[in-house]
Amino acid sequence: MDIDLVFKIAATGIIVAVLNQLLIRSGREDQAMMTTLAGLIVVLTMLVGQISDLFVLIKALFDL
Amino acid sequence: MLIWKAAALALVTCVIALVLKKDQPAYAFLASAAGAICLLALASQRLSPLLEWIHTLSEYGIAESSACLLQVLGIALIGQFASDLCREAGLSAAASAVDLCGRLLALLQALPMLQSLLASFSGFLQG
Repeated sequence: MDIDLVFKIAATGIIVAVLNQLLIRSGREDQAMMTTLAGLIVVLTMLVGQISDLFVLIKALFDL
Repeated sequence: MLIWKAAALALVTCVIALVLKKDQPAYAFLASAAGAICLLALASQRLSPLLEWIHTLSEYGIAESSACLLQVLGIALIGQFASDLCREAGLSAAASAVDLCGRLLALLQALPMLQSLLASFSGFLQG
């Protein structure tokens, strides 16, 4: 739950952006789409874990 | 101090989201959501002494209201957080829907307190 979560997402985003341009320039649009989706899935699994930790913390605090 | 850490975190998140916005808007939104989550976690870790103080209110004979107040606070916090995330992503319809849900649930949570308030008012008026 620290800044490194943002940095991980930024790194994945930049890598996917570069790969996307690379694959589009070399004519493989479908593979570019695949890499974007794969990166999105990786980031989402990370983020969902952090979101559930946050909600557990808030549930404990406000005894919701 | 905590405020410097929060400000730095917010600033870095803004820069990263803007860098990613042109090529990959989805990642820009995920980065800003992650930044918001980190800030909310930072804030809620420092929140517990305040909530203990709210519990001390129950010594003045208003026990059930402090618990209900806490729940309404939590619902408002999460509802506001979700609706602002939706609005930041550009989905104002979803944002207003989440807002409506938050207000509805908060009102439902506060209903017994309103009931006792009205009862005491009517008692004063007749008395």
